[in-house]
Amino acid sequence: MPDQVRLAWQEKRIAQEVMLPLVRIRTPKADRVFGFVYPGVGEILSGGFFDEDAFFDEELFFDEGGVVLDEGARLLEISPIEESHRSFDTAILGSFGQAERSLVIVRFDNSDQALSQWVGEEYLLNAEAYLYFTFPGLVVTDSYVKRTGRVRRWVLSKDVLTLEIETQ
Amino acid sequence: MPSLTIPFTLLRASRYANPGSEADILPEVYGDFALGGLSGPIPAVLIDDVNWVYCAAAHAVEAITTVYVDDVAQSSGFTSSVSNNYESQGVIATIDFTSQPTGVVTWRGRGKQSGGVLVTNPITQLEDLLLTRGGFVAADFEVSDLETARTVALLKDYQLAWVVNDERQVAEWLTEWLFNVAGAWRVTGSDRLVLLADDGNIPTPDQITVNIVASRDCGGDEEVTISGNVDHLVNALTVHYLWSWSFGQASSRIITEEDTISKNGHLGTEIRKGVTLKGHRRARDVAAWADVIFLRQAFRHRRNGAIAEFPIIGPKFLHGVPGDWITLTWPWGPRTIGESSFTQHICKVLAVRHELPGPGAKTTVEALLTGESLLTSQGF
Repeated sequence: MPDQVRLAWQEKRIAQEVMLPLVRIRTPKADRVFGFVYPGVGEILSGGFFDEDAFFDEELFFDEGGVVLDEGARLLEISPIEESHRSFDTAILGSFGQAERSLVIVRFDNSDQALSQWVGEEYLLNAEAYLYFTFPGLVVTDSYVKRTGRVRRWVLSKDVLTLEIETQ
Repeated sequence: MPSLTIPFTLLRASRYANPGSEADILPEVYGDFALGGLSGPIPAVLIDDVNWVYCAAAHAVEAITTVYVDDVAQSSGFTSSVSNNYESQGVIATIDFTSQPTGVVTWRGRGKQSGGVLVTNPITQLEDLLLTRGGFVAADFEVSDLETARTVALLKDYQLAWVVNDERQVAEWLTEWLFNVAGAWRVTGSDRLVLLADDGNIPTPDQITVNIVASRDCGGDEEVTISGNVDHLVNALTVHYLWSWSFGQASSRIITEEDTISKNGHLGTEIRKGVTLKGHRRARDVAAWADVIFLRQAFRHRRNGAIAEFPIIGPKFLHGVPGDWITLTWPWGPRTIGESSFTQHICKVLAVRHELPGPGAKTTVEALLTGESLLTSQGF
């Protein structure tokens, strides 16, 4: 898709002011940020994404240089995020009170096989994951929903990488 | 083949004239208990409460090195015999006290011999137990697999030790015994028992049963998935070993077994799991075992420990069984540094599901990735 067409499509999407999810996965090598639209579109979408009052210390990583490996419009689907007091693992007695733990399933486009390489080269299991649901124009740190989690499971199938993220 | 869902036919104290308790099981003792652990790891069974004779083992043993009464080593007041046809009921090992011992009698020493040599190979021990107390005959084993497993245990230098004195099912014992050599067991379609031990090695090309190419053998690339699960990930172990069969607890533990590469790779996160290896009495055996576990499940190379699932179209895999080595070629598979494609990746079959009737007959295979490709590991 030519850049101009892509940007036009993204701006149209943003103009609809739907809530936009962003999924950020952190591995020892670098971060990847996934959205329905290109997360690096700039101020319109994620103007404050790299604010110093972010969820985690962005500067620490940017000092090391080149840590965001990819910001891609790869997000295909994200499961509902459930907030509850229910026990995450029903086999554990007395685990009520683990508020906000849930399993979020996200699916990323892998038709170019770039994520096959990602899975093969990086330690993805147990990697840190950050979920943001925000409105276009709002800084990410003011997201309506923010969650941190860990990657519990990855599943590669043709064209799609599925991650199961256990939020905490 | 005899049933695996019943207990071993173990000898009981009731065969003697004056037993302490008729139902007590005479212990089968394999391996070297002479060193390590605390006091007497092997319980003795009172078989004559008139003359205070205890059965140390239900067979002759190599040595009874120390006898304990309530954890206190005894230097006198008893006579031990490594081979005693007591009351003409068959040869056992006995401890004969001159007067009533004042507490629980236990002992340490070395167990059953074969041809005058202590049996320490865990596969040979298990084979002997199945033959003598499980009702097995030689034809009940898949011979080639048995010899392979025996060789693996020999090369890994596993020297395990066991006391069998309970009513657990044979299948439970098989599982635990083979877990201690990172192995597995299954029963073939021709009703033979297969024993497997994992040496942690990557197979050579001649050991590969079949090469699967997804686009050709799976009816397309869409049917294949490869997944990694944090439940399968382990990079640090707390191993309880030196099991005391008298007290029902481990005498020691090792906490230093870990896979540093995996720990560092996973953001320094330690995924520690605790295991009890009842058959292990030497730290070197524990280390050898942990090496195999980490190699298979630490995700050290990101992919070893991942599971591939795919259908095989047609009868190509009808003879495939769990434990077989295969290779998988699939363009969407996880590629690592310097790898242009996911080609001929070596996997170990974990499960095979046959859907036989009808035109849609297919076989679904679940296989564990080793993280190695036949191309790279063989220097192609």
